[in-house]
Amino acid sequence: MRHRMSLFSLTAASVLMLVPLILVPSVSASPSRAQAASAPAAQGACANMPSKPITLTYWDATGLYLSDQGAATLDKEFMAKYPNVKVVRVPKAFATITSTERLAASGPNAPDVLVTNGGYVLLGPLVQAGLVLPLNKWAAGSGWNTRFTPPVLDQFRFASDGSQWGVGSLYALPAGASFIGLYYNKTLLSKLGLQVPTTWAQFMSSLSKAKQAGIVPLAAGVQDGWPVVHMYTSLQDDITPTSQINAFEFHSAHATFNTSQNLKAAKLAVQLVKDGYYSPNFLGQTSGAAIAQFAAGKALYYIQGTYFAGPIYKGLGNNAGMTIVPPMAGSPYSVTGGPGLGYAISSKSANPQVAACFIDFRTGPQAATLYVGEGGLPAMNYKYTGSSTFIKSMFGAWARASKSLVPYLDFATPNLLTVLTSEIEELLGSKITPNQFVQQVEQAYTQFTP
Amino acid sequence: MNGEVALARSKRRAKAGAHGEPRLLAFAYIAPALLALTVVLLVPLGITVWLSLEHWAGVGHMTWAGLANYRVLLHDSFVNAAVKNALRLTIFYSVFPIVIGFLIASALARVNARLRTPLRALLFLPATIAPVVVAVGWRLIYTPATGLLDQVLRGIGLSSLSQDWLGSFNLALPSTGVVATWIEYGLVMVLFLAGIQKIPDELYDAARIDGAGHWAELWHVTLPGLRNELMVAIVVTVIASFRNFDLVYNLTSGGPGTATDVPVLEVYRRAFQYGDVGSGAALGVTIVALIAVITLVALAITRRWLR
Repeated sequence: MRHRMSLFSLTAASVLMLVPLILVPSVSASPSRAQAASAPAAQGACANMPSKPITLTYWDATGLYLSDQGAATLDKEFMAKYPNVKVVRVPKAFATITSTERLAASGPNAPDVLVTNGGYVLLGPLVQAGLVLPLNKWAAGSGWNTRFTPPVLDQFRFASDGSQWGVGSLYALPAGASFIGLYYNKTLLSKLGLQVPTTWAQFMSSLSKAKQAGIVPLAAGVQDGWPVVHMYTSLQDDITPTSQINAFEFHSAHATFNTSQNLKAAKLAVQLVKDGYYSPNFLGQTSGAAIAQFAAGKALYYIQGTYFAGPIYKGLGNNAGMTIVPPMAGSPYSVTGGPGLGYAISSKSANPQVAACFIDFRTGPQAATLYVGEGGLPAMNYKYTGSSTFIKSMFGAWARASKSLVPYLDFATPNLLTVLTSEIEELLGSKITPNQFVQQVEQAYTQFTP
Repeated sequence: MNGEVALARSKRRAKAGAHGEPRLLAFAYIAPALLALTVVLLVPLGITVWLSLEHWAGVGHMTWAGLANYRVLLHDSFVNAAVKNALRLTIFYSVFPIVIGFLIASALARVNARLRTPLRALLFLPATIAPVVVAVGWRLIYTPATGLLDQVLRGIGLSSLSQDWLGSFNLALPSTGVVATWIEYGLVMVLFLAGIQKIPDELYDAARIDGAGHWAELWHVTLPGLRNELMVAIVVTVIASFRNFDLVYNLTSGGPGTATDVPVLEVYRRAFQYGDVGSGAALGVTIVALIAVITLVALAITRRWLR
């Protein structure tokens, strides 16, 4: 007998096998509005701590910022200080946080403390749904306004309806920070008879000098996607006024990407590729390969985030240094970067006061010192006293950067990371012109209304 | 409906000459499976269809969208590129594995049995490795200059052929496709090998007496004998092609540009990264429909061709 029927059902079953892949969790929680932020006189986050036994649960990202051991150490220190509080850390991969935290925060067992990045992907929806509490009432009493520079805190501000980022109440405090800077190789610089560049002109002439000497001027590798974004933003930051970039990010009135400055930056990005200043085949090698190239002393510079400082320091030690991308004469300059993940208080927490005290501790000097010991860059204003010239140069660059910081460009809309990655790859691969690039990004930008 | 009446009716039908078990009893047999299927497949599918008709950020209020989520997909350049890529990848996911699997299976069928088993196991190996591992491994192989592929090319004096395998806009899709073929052919091969063993030797004898050569045997005896297996292979590989996510996500993340973007990657981005669950679900539903149509068309063609 022919197996016609069984074949058909096999077809049907196989088609249905796809379904779990596209299964989307079906929870629609009715959001409870944020508890009103009544603001009495300045009150420290850790004043009037209750003494009854309390369990405080917090979500944390693993592999970003503090190590798991570091986090455990801090939790223990906090519990020693407040013996009635039991801190429970729920470590999660960052990708899991972005995809599941909205649901967890709206569910019945929401953690007391949530971890979030700024922008419209996570913090925006959380604020809009009333799932996080404003931190304003503790800010002055706890000294948070001086602990961080204003641009750092702005990235965790939101209008209470979630429509505009960068303004309104403060909803989270960051522990770590990062920014895009210029890593340089001191050995190669001196071999070429060069100083660390402080102006754009010096920087450009050093690129051509390196190329003539057969040294890769700028290590690059973007096959993993997102690193390509900084091959554009590092130039945009030198050309486009800070206010214009911020307007774009925070969706101020008349914000647009279609400006002459952004176009100029796109043309310059293409020109640097055409001049052959980047690693050959940078589109086909990963950022890991580019880091390896730079850390092995085979490239003069590498423009990337401080989050890659670890492997670079391991490879080059104090032969490496870091500075900001040199500004152009007469142009405004900004630095892309900002706080990393921040801690926010769930509006469902039974102990918001304890949560605020915990956040104060986790973003304060004690945590920062531990984090610096792990090679990290804390978000707070911090004076580095160690002996490493590499880390010292990074802190020096951060001191300058944190005053003229603009958020990561892709934070402006939820899908902008994908759009920018794709468009910048096509721009640098000469698949599209700088004009098309600017217009296509603008088109994607206008499709999103916060 | 009253069960007893139905039972009586089906008994009558059974007496009236219908063969096999009474129909109602058959439902009792499949009820447990049907229940499981309903809970894990049909209900989620229904929820996905429902979500595809709503605007929802994954949290907070839903608002009715109607078909707006589907209309958005029509004009989205990423989705368009992704669907085109999926169709192109079908060649690598379906056509090449079937051709290669068929050739290897027919060759293995002639190898003596003691050698066949280890060879089969060896050739099936790629299909058993987790796609994430495969993707990471092949990314290293494809790394320009320092990767295995370019090193081998240099080693045999063909360094002029070395390429930016995953970074070039023209090569990224074929490079990804080669990996897909490498994963898929094993399953097809095993399927065909089992099928070949079912073909009666008499058919080959008869063909040989009629003067059929090696290739004629393959074409006129082996291939028609594998008709059912071929249809299964088409269904399974076409589905694999359209639901491909892990391989592309880990190999190229859809880049450079949109050169290797695939539909399920867009589903993931929309539902979990952009906070646009509605259009993600709409795309998911569209993929299911698309797979169903493509599979049915491919089956119809094959069925007619191998009649």
